[in-house]
Order: sequence, then structure tokens, then C-alpha cells
Amino acid sequence: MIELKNVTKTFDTFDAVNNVSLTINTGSVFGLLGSNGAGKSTILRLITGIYKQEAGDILIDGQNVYDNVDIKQRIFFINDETFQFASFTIEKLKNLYKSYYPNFSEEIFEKLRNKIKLPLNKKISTFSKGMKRQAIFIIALASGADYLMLDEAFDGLDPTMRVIVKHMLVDTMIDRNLTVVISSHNLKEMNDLCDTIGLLHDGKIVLSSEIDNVKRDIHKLQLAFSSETPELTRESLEEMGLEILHFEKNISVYHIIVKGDVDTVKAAFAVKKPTVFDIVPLTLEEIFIYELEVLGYDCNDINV
Amino acid sequence: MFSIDLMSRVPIYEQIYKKIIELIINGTLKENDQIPSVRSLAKEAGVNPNTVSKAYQELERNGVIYSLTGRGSFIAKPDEKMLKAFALADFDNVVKDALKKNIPPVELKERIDEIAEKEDASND
Amino acid sequence: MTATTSTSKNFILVHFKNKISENRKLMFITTFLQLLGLPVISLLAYLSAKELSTNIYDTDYNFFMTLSALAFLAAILMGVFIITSNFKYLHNHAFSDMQLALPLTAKQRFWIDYSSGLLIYLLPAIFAMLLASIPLFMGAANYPLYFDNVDKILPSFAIIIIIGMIMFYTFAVFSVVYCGTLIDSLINIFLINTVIPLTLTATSISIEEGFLTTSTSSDIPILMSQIVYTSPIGCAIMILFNYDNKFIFNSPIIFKWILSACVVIALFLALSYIIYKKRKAEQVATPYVFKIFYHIFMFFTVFCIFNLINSLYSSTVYASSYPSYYYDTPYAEEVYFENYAVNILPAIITSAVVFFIAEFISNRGIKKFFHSVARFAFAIVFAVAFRKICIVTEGFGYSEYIPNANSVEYVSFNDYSDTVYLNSSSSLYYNDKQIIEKITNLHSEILNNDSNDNAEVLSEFEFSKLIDDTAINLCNDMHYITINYIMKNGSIVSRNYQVPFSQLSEIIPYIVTSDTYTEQIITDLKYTIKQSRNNKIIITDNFENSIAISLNESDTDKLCEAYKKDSSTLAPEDYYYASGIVRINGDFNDIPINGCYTNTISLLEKFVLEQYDLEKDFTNIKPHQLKTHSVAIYPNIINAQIKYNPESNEPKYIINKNLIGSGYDTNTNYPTNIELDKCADEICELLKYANHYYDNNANGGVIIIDNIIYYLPVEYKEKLNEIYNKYKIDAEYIVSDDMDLYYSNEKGEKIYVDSLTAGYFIDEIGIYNYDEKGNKNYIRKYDSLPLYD
Repeated sequence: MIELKNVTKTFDTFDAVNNVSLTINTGSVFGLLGSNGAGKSTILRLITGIYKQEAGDILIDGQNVYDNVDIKQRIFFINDETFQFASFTIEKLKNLYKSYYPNFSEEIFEKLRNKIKLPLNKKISTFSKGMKRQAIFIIALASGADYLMLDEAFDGLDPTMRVIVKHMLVDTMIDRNLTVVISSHNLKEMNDLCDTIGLLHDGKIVLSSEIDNVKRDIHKLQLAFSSETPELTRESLEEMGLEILHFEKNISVYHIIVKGDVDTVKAAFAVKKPTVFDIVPLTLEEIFIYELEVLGYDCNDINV
Repeated sequence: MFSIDLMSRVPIYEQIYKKIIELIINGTLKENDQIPSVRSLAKEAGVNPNTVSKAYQELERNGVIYSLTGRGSFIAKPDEKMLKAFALADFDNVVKDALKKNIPPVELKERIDEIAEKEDASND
Repeated sequence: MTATTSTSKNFILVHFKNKISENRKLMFITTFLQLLGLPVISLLAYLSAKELSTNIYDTDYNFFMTLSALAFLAAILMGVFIITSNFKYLHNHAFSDMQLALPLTAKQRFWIDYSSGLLIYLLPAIFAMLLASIPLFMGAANYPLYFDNVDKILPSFAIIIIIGMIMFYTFAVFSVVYCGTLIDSLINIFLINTVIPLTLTATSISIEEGFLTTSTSSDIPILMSQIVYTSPIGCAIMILFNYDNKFIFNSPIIFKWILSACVVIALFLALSYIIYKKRKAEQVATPYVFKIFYHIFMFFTVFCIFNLINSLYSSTVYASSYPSYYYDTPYAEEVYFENYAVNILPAIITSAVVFFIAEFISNRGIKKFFHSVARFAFAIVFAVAFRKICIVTEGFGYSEYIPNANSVEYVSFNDYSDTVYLNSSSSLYYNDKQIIEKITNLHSEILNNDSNDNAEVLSEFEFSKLIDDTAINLCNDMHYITINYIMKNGSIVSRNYQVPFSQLSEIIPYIVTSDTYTEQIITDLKYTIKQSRNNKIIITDNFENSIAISLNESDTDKLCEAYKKDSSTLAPEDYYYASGIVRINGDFNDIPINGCYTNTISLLEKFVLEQYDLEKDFTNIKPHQLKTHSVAIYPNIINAQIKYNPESNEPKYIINKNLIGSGYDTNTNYPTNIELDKCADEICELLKYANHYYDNNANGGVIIIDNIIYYLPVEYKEKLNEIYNKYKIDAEYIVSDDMDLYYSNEKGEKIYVDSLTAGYFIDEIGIYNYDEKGNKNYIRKYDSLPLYD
């Protein structure tokens, strides 16, 4: 289990991660979402023990991560660069990582390598971008690490490879209780891969819970009323105790994004006796956009 | 065995749950039939195994399926009442909607008969 | 618990091995360069010694030695590549994630990266040094004269090279850790290595400038010993300037220097480790992680440039504007500061230019310009103030400093103006307590001189038994002396003074009779005799009479024995400045033998007598024999000053009483060489009537054979004149080559005229002369060992 307790990470004068507390359960696939510069990569690196936090604790299975050799040999980090491997061959790279990860499995490595037919003895710099990523992925999966940190690591993988990697992840999750933390902008992928998500903005956690919970408790409403009913305002709804993320009136139709238990929300609006009432769940992308809009990060007021 | 709509707004585990029950209702899955393991379903559908696992746990909690360690998961004896309620859940919502839209109940009942007749005709 | 601990341990070895194999290529390159370096140099030294011992100087070793030295230098600089490779994750974002995610603590990572690189760097050097020692030890065994004390010098030498390399490596690691990008670390490596020794030099110069009123500046910077152990360049200086100094390399001083260097290394290493741990992972690729160090080094860069330019500028301005006698007066300070503001301007401008260029590069533009200006102002004010204080306080009073004799380990004393009494080939260091005390006494006397405003010459000095008027002049002659103290704690104090010779009279006997000096003279003697081309040496007395004698090995040994005996039996109080100083000249140097070295002198006389029968020798010589000597004639005698009457006993002549000095006006009249192969018969005829000594009748001119003068009676003057006019060779036709002075005859043959080389010829085979029958007789061939050894 990964725990972040009141963690702050400062770069110069800027708080990249500001008093963040987070729990990632063992065996889950945790997706870190956020605007650019929100602090996702920073958190990944904090958990891996690359960065040292200014304040707070970062614990894996109860132990502090930084400078902890025992814990670090159970974490494998993949970032979005391949430059550092360019001069290695896959064999050399595998041997290198094998020396640091005592649970490395040659079997898994060979199996995977053969599957995607990567040559053992050619320099990785000669590979295509996708193959470079594949190379490090198979090493990560064969490493025997319990925690996989992926920083935008799926970029550059073709759809087939994505499926292969996902299958491998599934196996490892079930067989070894692998925990995966992913940061990505590709929300569709996050949607089917992750079971828990955390949304970051400006170094702070906006929300963090299981995807299904998130989706369950946020609703998109389309409402219309008969002309006699008085105008609905955002403030009036909020006074009723509803958490409104987005409020828009288009001619006579209201488009409202509201958080809360579905029945409570339905009941609250039923009182108003709308003539049209549609309530649907949101996609992850929509959740992302509306949650951040509330925080001031939106696409409005841009007139080019 | 069945596909998940990843684009849907409906949570994935809910889709799995519903799908299994639908398959039981329409007779594709009978009592003691084995359903795919969490692993294989996760792979096939391209979803998180925890999600599948969650769905299976819910199914098991509600008595729809049972598991034997080392062997897999199987369909339990269907609870007719529960299945019926499930099948009819949408029906209730639609009726309520229609009534709200001031369609008289009589018309609704007539409509039901009409549809049933047509279905029978096409099945023969 | 055990399982995890043993896993942690394994990563240390694992990481170490991984680092080494990552840098395999660099190790090969370093090894290759090292093998081209020191081993080749020592092999060349061996081969050149071999050649020297056969007196044939054929091959140009300097060229290859320079190439070799460059290879060694390149191997040293490889350290930079090794470090930037090992620590590349500090400068390159891509490697940072990869390295820092590995299961290692920061502490482990630092020490493994440091030591693995150091191993790659040092192992080839150690291997090369071991290889290089082989030719040197072979040289010590086969050619001991050229490789003396190799076994004493070599171990210290090797340790200093290694220490220097570790220091260079550690400095580079330090730079790499406090800088954030590759280019900045490279700049700062250069900065650290140059700023430290330059600052010490600049400080020395400033302090020395304060010695305005007392002495001229010394050759060795005041802070020399500090320079030696605080930078790799200092270590190199240590070796280059002292590589043949068996005194320093064989003494406890060297261990103190090595220890001090180790302390400096430890300090930088500790500092590097501390800032490495403090360093944040995200600071990769920012220009500076700890910019304070850069500021410190730039501060001292300004200090150095200001001081160096200022001393350059002010010394030329000062020297050209004011006569040198102002130096020793109280006016010196006034004069120095007269145009101070203008004089320091070039220095300020130069240092500003360098500083702001560096700021521009490090700030990546003109950011925070006012901060830069403030820092520069701070630095320049410090530099100017420091300089002024040095002059005002006369180098912090350091010019008056005389070391305590008890704290001095070695002292060296060199008199550059003296070619008569004190002369040896190398700088000698004396360990003798008495000598050290006497020198410190002399030192304080000298300082008292200066405060006495041109102190009177000590008139009570007497050159006992000196018969010349020149004694008084000798007394007052100003000699340039250098005193170097090497203290027990390893520091060096060096002073130059200008001193009247009379003040030195007390110390010279002690020095000359010391064991150190004696040993060196004996070594010089052996070397001179060995290196002389025809195994001949020239002995000259104080009347400039010279004669050439040849010495074989047993003669040389006997001579050395005699000298040693004389030296040990002679007490300094018995040393006197006798009129007789014999100089032994060879190609190598002049070795003075004082007249009170009775055994040595009488042995030399004996050799002369054995080899020359002066009474009869040349008067009955045959022409073909005459041709093997140097012959000069002159029909006139001007100003014949008779120094000696054969009947009297005074004064004591050194070589042989038959050698008579005759003075002639050298400006217009000089005996000239003649074309001997044409007039040898006639000369031989005249010689039958010649005499060794001059009397009133001997006005017929002189024939000088090998510097031995024969006087002709007046009746032969005309004949001599005839020969002179017909066969003389004007001085302008006598030129020199590698071998000696010669003229070319019509056949184009080189005819050598000096007594050492007369009668010898050279062709491509070797050196030869003609025997009685006119046959060629080779005495030395180029491609074989000498015919006699």
C-alpha cells in the first residue's frame, strides 16, 4: 500500500505538490489525472524515491521510500524518455536491471521478447520509438517489482502492443498483486485500465476514489420547465445543498452538472416539477473538464 | 463471451453485472454453467481485473454466482424473483415516465398486448 | 531480516561492477595513453643515457619525449571524461530518473560512483609507473652516473603523481556536484585548478612587492610549498622543478607535503559528499546547484588577475621611470604610490572584462546585472586593499623574517656572481646545523646592512696571503646570492640579496668543506671527465695558464680520493683564499679547486708532469707530432709582466713553475693560430732555440703550444714575423661546430685549433688523427663502443 501523508514538494519557490495526502491500495491500478504541470510526474517520482519531499511522509507498506534500498528494489519506474537506454542492447539492459531486481524472471522476459520479436543484440537506439518503449516495458514486467510507476509510458505503443501490455499487467496483478500507478492524459485508456483515479490541479488533490464511485456520484442533467416556473439559478440550487459543477442555460434548456447521490439529486429536482428531466452519467473526460472548470481551469473566455 | 462498451457512461462493473444477469434471463447461461475467470474476462474485454473482480463479488454476494476455489465461478440457481425484478426495473421506470407524460394507463396496457401479439407472430 | 541486508550489500558490488563495465572504453583509452606516456619517457631516458655514455649525440630524443609527455597529460585529463560519464545523471535529465530510481542510497551511490571512476583512472597509471620503473632501474645499474639516486627518488615521485591525480579527480568531482550542466562543470574544473595556485602566486607577488625597501623578489614564490600541495598543477610543479633533487625527495619533508596534500583532498572530498547529499534530484540541468562556490572562485579570479596585471604593469612603469637606487631608500614607497590610481587601471579593466564575460556565460545572459556589479566591486576593493596593505606593511613584515635555525631542515646557498670559490653543477641543500646557523646569522647581518643605509664595507676583513691589489676590489664586489630554507614543517622560505663579497667570506669555507659539497664536486668531476670528448680536461690556474691532460678511470678515482681527503682534513678556519685557484674545465662545467687542497693540487701536478716533459718537451718535437697540438705564434711581446722568477720561491704557483704567465694587450695583439700543416717544419726549427722562461733577451716573440708559452731570443724575431705574416689565420676564419673551434683549409677539411681537439678530424665514421706515417687512426667510431673506457 502506498501512502502519502501531507506531502509537499517545492521546486525553488513553487509548490509542485502541496500538502497532498493519498492512499493507493495494493493491487489497484491508480490513475493520476491532472492538468499539465499539476504535479503528476512529481508525485510519481516522489513515490519512486527519485525526489525527496520537503514535508510529509511517503510510505510503502509502512516504510519511508527515500534512500530505502529494500523498498526501491520492489519499485520499477518507467518515464517517457528513452534516451538513457540508447546505447544499450536489450540483453545488456536486461542484465543491468537484473542485477538490481532480485526477483527478475528470465522466463517472463524471454517469453515477452519472443512474442514481440525484439532482437537481443542490436542497440536500442536503432529501434523505432514504439519498440524502444516495448523494450523497457518487458524488462519492467519481468523485473518482479511489486509496484509499477508509469509516467505517460503508454505513449508510442501501437494498439496491439497496448493490448499485450495490458494482458501482461492483468496476469501480474492477479499472480503477484502488482500495484500500478499511471499518469496519463489519455482518459479513454485510463478509463478501462484504472480502478482508482486521483485528479490533481495546482499541486493539490481535487478528488481521489474508485472510478465507479466517481462516475456514480456525478451526473449530467438536462432540464426544461414550463414557462410559469420561475428561473432556476445556480445559487438557489447550491442553497439547497447541491454541489453544482456547471450551470448553463441554453434558450429554455438547462444543462447542469451536479455531484451527489443519484436518488438525492433526482428527488431534489423532482420537487421543481421539470417538464424535461434527463439524467446521465459522465465520461471520465467530462468529469475531468468540469471538475477543473470549477477550480478556474477552463476553456471559456478564449476569443481568438 | 460478451463485449463491454468502454465508451458508455455506465460503469464497467455495472455493465458486467447486468450482462451476466441478462444472459441468465435469456437462457444463454444456465445453472452451474462456468463463467470466464476474472483473468480471462479482464483480458478479453480489456478492462481492469479489479473491476471484473468487483462485479463478480457483487454477483456472488447477491447469490447469482458461486465460486469453487481452484476451479472458477459458476452460475447459481437463479432466483426467479430477483431476476424478474431486474428485468422489470427498466419497465417500471418507463411506465413512470410515460405516466408523467400524461399517457393514460389504459393505453399503456393496450400497447403491451399489441407488442406481445407481434412478438408471438414473429416467433412462429 | 538477514535476507534483505544481504540484498542491500549485493547492490553495492553490483553497482560498482556495472559502473566499471559501463566505462570500459574509457579505461582502455586511459591505459593506452598511460602506456604511451611514462614508460616511453623512461625508456627514452635510458636510451639517451646509453648514447651519452658513448659520447655520441645522434638521436633527437626531445621530440619523442615531448610526444610522450603529451600522451601522459592526455591520460591525466581523461579523468574529466571518466567523471562526467560516471556522474552524468547529475547533468542529464534522461539519466537522472534511471539512476535515482535504482535501489541505492545517496550515500552508496556517491561513494561507488567516486571510487569506481577513481579505480579506472588510477589503475592504468599505477601499471604504467611500474613499467616505467624498469628502464630507470636498469639505468641505475648500468649507467649510475646519469641515474644516481633513482631508488631514493622514484617512490616519492610515484606517490606524488598518484596524489596529484587523486587531487585532480576530486576537484573535478567537486565541480561536477556543485554545477548542474556539463558545460558549467567543465568551466569550473578549469577554474578550480587554476584559481587555487594562481591565488597563492598572486598573494606571494603582493607580499613580495612589499619587500620594496629590502631585497629583490625571490625566484620561488613565498607560498610555494602551499602551491605544491593544494593543486594538481602544484604537484606537477613540484615534480618538474625538483625531479633531480635527491635532498627533497629523500627527506621527511616529502612526507609532510604528501600528508598536507591528502588533507586537502579529504577536505574537498568531504565537501563534495556533503553537497551531493544536499543536492536535489530536480536540479538537473540548471546551471548551478550551489552557486556560492562559483562566486568564491570568481572572487579569487578577480584578485589574481588584478594582482598579476598590476605587478606586471607597475614593475615596468616603476622600473622605467625611476632609477634602481630608489629601491633601497625610504622614498620607494612614495615613489610607488605617486601614480597609483592610473597604474592600477589596466589591472581593474582586465579583471572586469574577464569577470563579466564569465558572469554572462554563467547567468546565460544579462540577468541580475546589479548583483554581478556588486560582487565585482566587493572583489576588486578587496584586491586593491590587500595590495596596498602589503606595500605599506612591507609584506606584513615578512621581509624581516628570518627563520629560526632550529626549525630549518635544509638550507641552500647559491652565489650566482661567484665563479671562483663556490661553484657546483646543481643546487645543494645542506643539513648541517653549523651551516644553517651561519646562514641565518648572515641573513640577519644582511638585513642590518639595509637598515644601515648602504653599510660600509667591512674593512677589517683581510684576504690573508693574497698578494694582489685586486683583493680590495674583490672585497667590495656585490654578489647576487639566493638563500632557500626548507623548514621542518615543509614550507619554503626563499630570499635573494645583493651582498658585498666580504660578508660571504665566513660562510664559504664551511660550505666548501661540507660533505654535501664535497660529494657533489666529486660527482661533477667524474661526470666532467667522463663527458669530455677525448678524455682530456683542461687545468687552468689563476693566471689563466691552462694545460690539457687526459685522465683514465683509475686516475679519476685517485683524484677523487685526494679531493675527499683534503676536504675532510681541512678545517674551515684553515681555509684561506689563496691566490691559487685551479679550475678544471671540461665541456660540462668549471670545477674550482682551492689552493689549500694540497693533495689534490699535487696530484694534478703529478699528472701534468707525467704527461708533459716541460723542460724538453716541445723544443725537440717532430713536425708530425706538432700537428696534434694547438699552436699559436706572435712576433711581439707587449707588457710582459713577469710574475715569476724561477729562482725565487714566491708565490706559490699551482701547476708547475715552468708555466709563466705573460700579459699582453689582448685588444690589439693576440697570438694567432697558423696553418700548421704548411709550416710545421719551420716552427719545429725555431723551437730548438726557444726557452720556457722570459729574460731580457727573449724578445723574439712567443710560440704557444697547448697554452704553454715558449719565448724566442730576439735574433729569431724576423723569422717568426715572416712565418706569422705568411701563415696566420685571422680570428674571423675560426669558427665553431659541435666539436670545437676550427678553420677550413683549401681542401675543405676542418682543422681544429683548440688544445683539446687539435690534431683531430671527423668524418662520417668517427674521430681520427694521423700517426707518424700519416695513416688515419680512429680513436672513436660512431657505431661502436669507445675504443677505450
